[in-house]
Amino acid sequence: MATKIIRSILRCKTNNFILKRWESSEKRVTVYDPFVTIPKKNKSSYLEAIKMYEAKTDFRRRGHVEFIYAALARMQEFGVQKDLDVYKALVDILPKGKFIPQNIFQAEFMHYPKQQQCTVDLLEQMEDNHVIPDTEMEQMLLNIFGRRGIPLRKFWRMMYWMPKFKNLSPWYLPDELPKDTLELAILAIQRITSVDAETRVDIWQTEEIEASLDKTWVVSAQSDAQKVLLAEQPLEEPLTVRGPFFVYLRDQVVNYFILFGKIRPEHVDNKDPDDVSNIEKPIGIPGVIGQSTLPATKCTVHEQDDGTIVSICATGTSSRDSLLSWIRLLEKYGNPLLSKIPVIFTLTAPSTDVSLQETQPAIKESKIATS
Amino acid sequence: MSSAGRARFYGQLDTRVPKDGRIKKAGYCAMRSKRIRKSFKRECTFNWNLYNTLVLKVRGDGRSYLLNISCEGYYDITWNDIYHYVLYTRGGPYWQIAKIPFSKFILGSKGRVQDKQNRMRLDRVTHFGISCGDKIEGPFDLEIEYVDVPEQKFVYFKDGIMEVWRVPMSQSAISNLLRIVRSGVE
Repeated sequence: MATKIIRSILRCKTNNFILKRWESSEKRVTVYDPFVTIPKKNKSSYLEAIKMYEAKTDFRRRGHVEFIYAALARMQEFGVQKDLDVYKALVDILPKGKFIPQNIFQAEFMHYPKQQQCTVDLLEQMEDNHVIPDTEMEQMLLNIFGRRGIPLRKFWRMMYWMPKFKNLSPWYLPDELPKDTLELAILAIQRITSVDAETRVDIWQTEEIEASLDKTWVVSAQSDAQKVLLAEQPLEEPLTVRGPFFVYLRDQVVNYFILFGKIRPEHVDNKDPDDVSNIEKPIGIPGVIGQSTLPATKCTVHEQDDGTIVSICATGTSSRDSLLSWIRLLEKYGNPLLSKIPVIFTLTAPSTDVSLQETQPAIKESKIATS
Repeated sequence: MSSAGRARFYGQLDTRVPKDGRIKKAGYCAMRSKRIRKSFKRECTFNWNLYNTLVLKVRGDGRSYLLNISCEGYYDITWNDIYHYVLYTRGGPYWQIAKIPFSKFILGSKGRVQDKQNRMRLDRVTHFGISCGDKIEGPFDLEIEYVDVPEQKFVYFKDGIMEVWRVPMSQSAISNLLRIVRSGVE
């Protein structure tokens, strides 16, 4: 019924004022996102954007919840997601005193639920990025939401559990991982070889070997037990270099390679225990020095089911040439047997060489129009 | 199965969030044991009353994995109660033996750590599982040789029982222990 009237009006093509309402509007609402327009994305420009919002003459601060959500979403681009000051600046936007419940009903029914939920999401993002808040933040939340607020409950939970979980890892890693790949490789190799306390981690440069094509560093780890195991390897059987395997250091990945030898043959002890004709002198009696070779049975942690780990390394470029230099450097620094034993390189292709088939390609985010 | 003949929990974690408006975070992978059953497919629970540690021999890739023990109850509020423990792996080709007492597990419901922590109901354990959800994108790999609940030795004395741990003891610790046992025996 209404459509018939509209159609009749439109067909008359009168310049009616009412008609204007039904015209299709070519104007669209443009979204202004202050975080997109900033050219240089770092902490100071992020804080400036927040200050610009706070400095607006409109004391009502309209849309502060939406602003906080937009700011939270953009933190990754600016690289400030692990920064406590930034989160505090965001919480500071909320007005103090206005959201505190005044009576029991307000306290019970989540006074200002949108703002409380927004702050809880902010705290949740802090928790995901492993940022532990402090008492200043507690004071701010107290002033904003009062003692009975949900964000404060979440804050107290965070302050109870996060310090407990912070240092659970037995392998210490600094809060800020080093950006340099050499330092990361050293940390990784130290972590991997923390099994054997006698391991020596050496850093060599491939320039020491004249025939090397790749000029890079090599971080190699070998313990005394491994040196002895290598010295006892049979000369005809080749050693294998396997890799690259990966190890995670929090969120960084380091590729490493392993030099595998053969497992020692099973030690068969056919001696009759009751035979007293040739008893050995036990170790510990002065004058009797114990054996300098390892005990005959498989006992070190380096001997595994598929081979004996003789050495581990990480190189700057994980290329075959740098691994060749690594073998030569190992030979130079204390393993003379390597010049005689053949070494086979069985390396899997690095993942960047293989193209990944994705069933659901990532959709690029369309850029929001800026005014 | 890995090349070394052990169980292998591996895959690729992708933290890209599917854009359907509902899901806020993504990227985790979990596996758990089947519910043990009695005859005629009746549901049953593990009874681990005699044990107090979990021992795992694993070979990881440096990532942290969650060990989940589920003791579902009868009431629907408790259906999502899982006891978690974060297992940090060393990475590298060396095996790692992790001995975790059950008291270190932390109660969470649907992943949220609860305020009131209870002791685990060891006589009603329904599932054991391992998950990887550390928000780091990339491949993960965990080789498991065994998961074991080893026998625990107890010393019975007059007022109760005491667990005995084989820990290298100092002289003072040994004398303390003897003093307690003697007082219990009397």
